[in-house]
Amino acid sequence: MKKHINIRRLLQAAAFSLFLALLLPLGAEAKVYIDIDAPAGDRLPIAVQELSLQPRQAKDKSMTDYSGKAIMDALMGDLAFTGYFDIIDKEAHLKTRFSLQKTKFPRWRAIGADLLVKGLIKVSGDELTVELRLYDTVRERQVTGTRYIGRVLNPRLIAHKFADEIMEELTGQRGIFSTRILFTADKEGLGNKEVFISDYDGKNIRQLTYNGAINLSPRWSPDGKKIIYTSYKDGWPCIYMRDLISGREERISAKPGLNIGGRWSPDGKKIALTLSINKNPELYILDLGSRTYKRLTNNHGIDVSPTWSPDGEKLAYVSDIAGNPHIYAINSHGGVPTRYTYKGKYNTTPSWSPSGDMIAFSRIKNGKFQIYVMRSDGTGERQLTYNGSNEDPSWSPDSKHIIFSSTRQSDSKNSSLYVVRPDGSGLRKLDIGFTHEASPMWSPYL
Amino acid sequence: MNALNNRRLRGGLLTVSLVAVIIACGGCAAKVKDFKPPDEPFQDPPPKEMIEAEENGAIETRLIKPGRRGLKGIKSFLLGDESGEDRLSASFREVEREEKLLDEVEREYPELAGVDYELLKLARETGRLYTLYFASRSVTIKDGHREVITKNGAWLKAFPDTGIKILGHTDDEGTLEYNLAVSQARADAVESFLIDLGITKERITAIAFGEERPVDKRNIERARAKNRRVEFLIVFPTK
Repeated sequence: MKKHINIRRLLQAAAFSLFLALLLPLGAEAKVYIDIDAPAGDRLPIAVQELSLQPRQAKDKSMTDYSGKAIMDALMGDLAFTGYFDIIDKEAHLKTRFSLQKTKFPRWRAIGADLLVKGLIKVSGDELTVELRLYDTVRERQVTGTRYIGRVLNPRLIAHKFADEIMEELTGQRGIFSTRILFTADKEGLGNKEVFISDYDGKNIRQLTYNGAINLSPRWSPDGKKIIYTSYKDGWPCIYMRDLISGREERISAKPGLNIGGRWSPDGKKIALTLSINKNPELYILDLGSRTYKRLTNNHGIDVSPTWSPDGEKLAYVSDIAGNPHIYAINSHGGVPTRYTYKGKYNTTPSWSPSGDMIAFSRIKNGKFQIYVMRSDGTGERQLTYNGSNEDPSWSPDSKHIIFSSTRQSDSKNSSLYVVRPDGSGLRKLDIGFTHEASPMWSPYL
Repeated sequence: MNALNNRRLRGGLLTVSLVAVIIACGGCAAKVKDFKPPDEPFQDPPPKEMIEAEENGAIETRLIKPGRRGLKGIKSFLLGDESGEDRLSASFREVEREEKLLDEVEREYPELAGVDYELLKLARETGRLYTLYFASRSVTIKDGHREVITKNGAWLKAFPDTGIKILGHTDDEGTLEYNLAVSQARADAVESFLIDLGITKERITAIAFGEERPVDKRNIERARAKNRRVEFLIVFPTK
């Protein structure tokens, strides 16, 4: 609750600073610095100058120092994550006296920086003021600049917001750095999975459930304000909905047998799920308004793990109607399913990209699950992972990254969360450090 | 006073035993012989329920917890104090004189005669009936296992006041939600079989656990085979 207020204040501050930024001399013409659709464009060299701590003799120096470091760390992480930048080594930076007003562009050009981020940080009491600016050193002008005023609860959020802004300015597409990840993990290694939430980079982790039962498959609502998850806290797998802001929780599906795999429809009004009330796990659609169920599949096989197309017209899911589990797609109003996968003996956990044109899934190959992507009509498969067992892909809201769980760094079955781009590049591990990190889901833009 | 006497007597006995050991060992310093102390004349008093059973024939009052009404005497003893659920994490309890009891049971409760002897013991000790195992990804009951469910069914008929929780499990191969569905299908298959045997649906709850509750976490096929199972947990009558 507190955090929320803080974010709101931050946003207000950001809006105000944007207004301030507009008053600064800004080039009117829009320039696309990075073409995000270019396959492997040149990387833009960027220098991020150490934040200036103001005032220097402040009594809150340690706090300023801490916040400054956290912001720098997060900002560097964000820029590196995009794969669009070459971050110039700090050692190469010039020793100039810091001035927010004047920038010696030729000297930054001399070390090869096309772009420069600099800023200052001030802490007084629990109020944090951070001003960040991005400069084009070639054209010698400011690209964007924002002053953030907030509390010292999560300084990393400021860096993420500014990185979002940098990406929007440079690519024309919003950054994903203030998005978040839902996942389950066995934090203490006690054998119970609880639901956690973290920033997109695995930092700033909060635990959402503490019930000591099994908790599975957490999913975001399309507006990012609520989650649904499956829990055994009442003795069998039921689906619960939690409002992340008020913390209020409600049991939304508690039929006898299975209530699993709940997935929010893109309009937020329905939930696709698997029930076993008719003795055979089938897909249903639960209308959140009328609380009525509509049966979607009717066969003698198992139907699980639905994923909505972003227009809400179709659902891809897993069915073993043909013997082995394969991916099928069905119209969300019902009808005859289309089979999407034929290769392999086990295809599962489909995830439709927010851009609508791709589906990520996992397939057993040589005894281990690997992440694949295919076009949303089922053609053009491509394998993305090769080591360990890799499951449960989920897309970032800009469809440029896929998060999944993997056992690649572990000889046991202990899984960690990883991110990869849909072309297989940029693989990296999220530094969470729990055991059995699983079922990750990337939030929408928040 | 009685207890004190008992303790003295036991103390004395211990001394006698020790002396006996020393003598026995002294006689054969080079070799170690097995030494069996004489039978203890004073054993622990029989359980309260046994005394009452002797006094009243059959006991109504023994440790009656809410919801244990309707179960009588030895039969109630056989059913145990804790339901399968209560025992999930508890270790097995020591049970004495069970064989003698079971003979008695067969005399007094002819309906128990058809129940598998080992199963009666298992139910008493663990709160569970026989576990069934499945082939990889299969939801069909193996032919050899029909007999096992039939035995479980016979036990359930002999204890009509109980309920049964059927817990379906899978191994860790495959993905979470698909495995949950497989384990539900396994539990549902067993439920249907029990219903065919004449057990009423109201007594049965089938719950799927997927790959979440393995009994053997090793990454070998033998461990996975143990995990692909359906467990039967006895549930005591509800309040």
